[in-house]
Amino acid sequence: MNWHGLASLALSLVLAPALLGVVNRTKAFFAGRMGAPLLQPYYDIFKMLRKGSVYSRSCGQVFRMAPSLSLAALACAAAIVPFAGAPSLSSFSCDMILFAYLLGVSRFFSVLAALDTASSFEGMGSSRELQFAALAEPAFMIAMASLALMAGDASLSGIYQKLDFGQWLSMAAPALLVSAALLVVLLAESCRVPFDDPNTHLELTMVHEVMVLDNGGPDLGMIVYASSLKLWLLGALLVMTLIPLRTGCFALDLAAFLACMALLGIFVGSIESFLARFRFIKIPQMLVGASALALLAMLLALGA
Amino acid sequence: MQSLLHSAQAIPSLKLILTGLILLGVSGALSFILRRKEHVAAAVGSWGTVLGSALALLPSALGALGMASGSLSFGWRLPIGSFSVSLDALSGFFLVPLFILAICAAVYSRGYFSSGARPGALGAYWLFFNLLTASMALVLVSSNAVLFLIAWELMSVASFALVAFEHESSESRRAAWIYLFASHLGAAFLMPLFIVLDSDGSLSFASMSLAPGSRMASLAFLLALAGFGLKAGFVPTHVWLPEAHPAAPSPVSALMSGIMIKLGVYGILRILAILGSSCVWWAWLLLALGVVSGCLGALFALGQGNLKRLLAYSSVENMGIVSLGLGLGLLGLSYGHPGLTALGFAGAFFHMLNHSVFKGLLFLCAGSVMHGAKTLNMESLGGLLRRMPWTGSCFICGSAAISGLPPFNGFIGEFLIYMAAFAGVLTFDFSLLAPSVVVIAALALIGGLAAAVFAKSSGIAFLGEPRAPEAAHAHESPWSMRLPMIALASGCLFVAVLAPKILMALAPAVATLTGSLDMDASQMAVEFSVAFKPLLAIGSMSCALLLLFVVISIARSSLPMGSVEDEAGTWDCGYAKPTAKMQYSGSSLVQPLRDFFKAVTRPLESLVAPSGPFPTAASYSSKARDFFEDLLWLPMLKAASWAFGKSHALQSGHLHFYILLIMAALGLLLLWTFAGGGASL
Repeated sequence: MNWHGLASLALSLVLAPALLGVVNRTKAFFAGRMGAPLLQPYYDIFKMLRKGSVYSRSCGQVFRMAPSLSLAALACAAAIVPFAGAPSLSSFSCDMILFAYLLGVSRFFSVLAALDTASSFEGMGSSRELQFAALAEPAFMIAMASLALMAGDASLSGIYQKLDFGQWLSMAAPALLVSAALLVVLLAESCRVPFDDPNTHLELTMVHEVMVLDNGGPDLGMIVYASSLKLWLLGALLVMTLIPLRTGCFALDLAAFLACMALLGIFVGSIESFLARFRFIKIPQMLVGASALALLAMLLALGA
Repeated sequence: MQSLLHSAQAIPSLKLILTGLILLGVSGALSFILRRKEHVAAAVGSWGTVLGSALALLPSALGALGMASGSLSFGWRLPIGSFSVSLDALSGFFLVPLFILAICAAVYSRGYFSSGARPGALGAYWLFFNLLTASMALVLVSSNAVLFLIAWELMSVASFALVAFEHESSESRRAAWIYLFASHLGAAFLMPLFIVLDSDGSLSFASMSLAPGSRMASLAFLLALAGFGLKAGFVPTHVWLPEAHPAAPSPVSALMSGIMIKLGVYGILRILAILGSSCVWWAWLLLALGVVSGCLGALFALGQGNLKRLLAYSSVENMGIVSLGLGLGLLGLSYGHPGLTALGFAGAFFHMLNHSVFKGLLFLCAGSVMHGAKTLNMESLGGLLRRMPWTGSCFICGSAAISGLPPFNGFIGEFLIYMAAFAGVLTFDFSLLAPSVVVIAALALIGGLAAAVFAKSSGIAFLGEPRAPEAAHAHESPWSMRLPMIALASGCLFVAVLAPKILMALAPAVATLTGSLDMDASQMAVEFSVAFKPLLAIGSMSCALLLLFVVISIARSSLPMGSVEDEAGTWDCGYAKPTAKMQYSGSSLVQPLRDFFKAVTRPLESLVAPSGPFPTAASYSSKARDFFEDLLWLPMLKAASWAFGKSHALQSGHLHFYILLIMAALGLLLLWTFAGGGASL
């Protein structure tokens, strides 16, 4: 039994909203505010789980089942990611493809639920989400292919186990480029500034937050938890690519991983404080640029 | 001993298949004879299809598994060729989905036409439907070029008659003419192909061979790609697909999109099996065709408002994905890399099987929408899931499957092609790595675009509020139409669950292509086993997904306030009186994507901008168009028409001129005979 994988998975499932708390606390710090407590996302989720729901008359079964299905897909995706260098619960050749498509399941049914409300706000969010997803997929896949080339292995667990400090030093340039591409994909997929503003629900920032405008109660709690889990999963991939700490002792690796995730939260919070959301014209160009960075990383890795 | 056993089993299998085909033909003819009595004609025709297909299904499955292969030959009265049929794993692989889809489409047609059609039309429908099924099966089992071409022509004529079923409407007639012309243009490339391949005049596949790497082999490959690629719907010869498939009745569209375009790929595969070898640039050509067809097919599908036209362009896109897999397989074959070959071909074959299932399902659902809501224009639909729950659920399952989402079957085929591409990347060899990276990037983009296309079609048509009265009064289809859709939707799940077994079952079919690497079925199975563990893991992950979904739903409803539900209007940011017209329409949903790719798809836009200090009228219209049709085919055909128009001088109408022409031709022939050129005459 893969106890290390199970332990790191359980810890990640529990700590994912805390990452959201770190990001919000960092933003408050740069804005000169005290900010909400670090554990505020937990309080919010539990509050929402205690509420009843209000459904629109236009909504059908798809709207009611989409939040559960999205959360289930993301939880399954969490079983594939190898946290802290321990092999994941479900690891096989080319498992990053399943990871990407499980995220796709979550996104497809969120879009369908948004269209089920018959509201133009949700429709606008869905149309933008569809565009970003179609353009972020190639960037993610090419970045994964570059990582596979750098490590010589095709499964996520294999890649991150083989990508230790020595290997990283000899492949520093491609690793940094892949990290840049993964950062762009992280910000786009978890709907952070500069791709989307998670604070507001109005026209200016209509991508993810507006797709869930008509959700409330336990459904909204599940959606908030699912988006924090998505941020954690993509952040974990970025952190492990950028900072390959493999001491061999699992407890030390896990502590280092959690510390780096907290640093990632601070970094994402700083980006959100210093940048404004880009014009929608620029966002697809940035995503294509991320694909180009990943391609360049692959060429450099081949030459190395 | 093994081969004796096989051929002992093959002959009954072939005879059973031929009997099934004869049953199909006879029931079709009977149905036409009895066309005045509509119910009897429909019953005879449909039962003939179901029984004939059921009879031939098991032998085809045995053939696909490599357990029954062999050939039969009869002489006939024609001066060339012979009635030779043979069953091998490659034919069997394509026969199995053909017969399954034929049974589903036949049961569906009973319900689709239950309210009757024009007098005498149903008899003609069943005649051509059974003829289409029988001729497609005959194409797949023929092992003589003449029989192949005859069956190909029968297939084209039968499907032309079915496309022209509603010949009262001028669009249907136009679509039928375009389809007939395209079929014959493709067939025009097939005749020189078989002449080039033929070595001893018998025109039989078993005796055809060409020297590997020779110019004749490349010429044969190019002719095959042109002729069969046109049938498969590769860009730029795809323009007939979006015209013909929407014009045909929905069960026929399901059969055409689910099976007939695969026959184009079958032709290319058969020629590759005959040629035995391959060059690197063949693989590059297939990869280029795959990238272009996949991306352009998805992009054109984004802009469509008619549900069946969108599904037709999606077929173009899926054939592009198949071509990507075939290109990777051929690349492995040329470089002698068994893993890449095995996985590339496995991905292509699996995707073809998947596509038959879910494209057939989607077209049957579209027909159900037509039957219930009387329109296929997505801008007038909406909220159909409430009025037609079975159709809607099946369509959403089919959309998730075609977007490649786990736990459905579409993911497995794309996963195998990704595995092949990653295997190519990990060879660290630039000549294999470059095309693999192209495949990874293209497949990711195509997957994202396909998800957008099907989120649009299922979301706009089935969810939200009805945008027009026809959708508000839609009614569900009868059970004879629902059962095939439910069967195919369950098929999507079953294929996903049984994916590892099905992968192993593909080994004999793929092994027919890899003769040059000396890989037979058992070695192919060894190569496939590298994908066995991933597919098992994917299967268990899909089960975990469904289980987790059920657990979370139960947990949610057992929360203290979990079952407290209230109803209100859609909040819409506090707008008091929302109407159905305020919803996003299909074109606005995909507008960001379409605008980003505008330079590639070139829609026709017209803008009358507001002008002046007190602007009054302003308008904007945008129409998605297939620029291959406007900028490539129409000018080419106009030029051809002008050139052939010059030959009108020969058709002067004067009898004396025609007699002069006949005398001149006779004189020339006599001269040629006596000059010694007629030794063979």
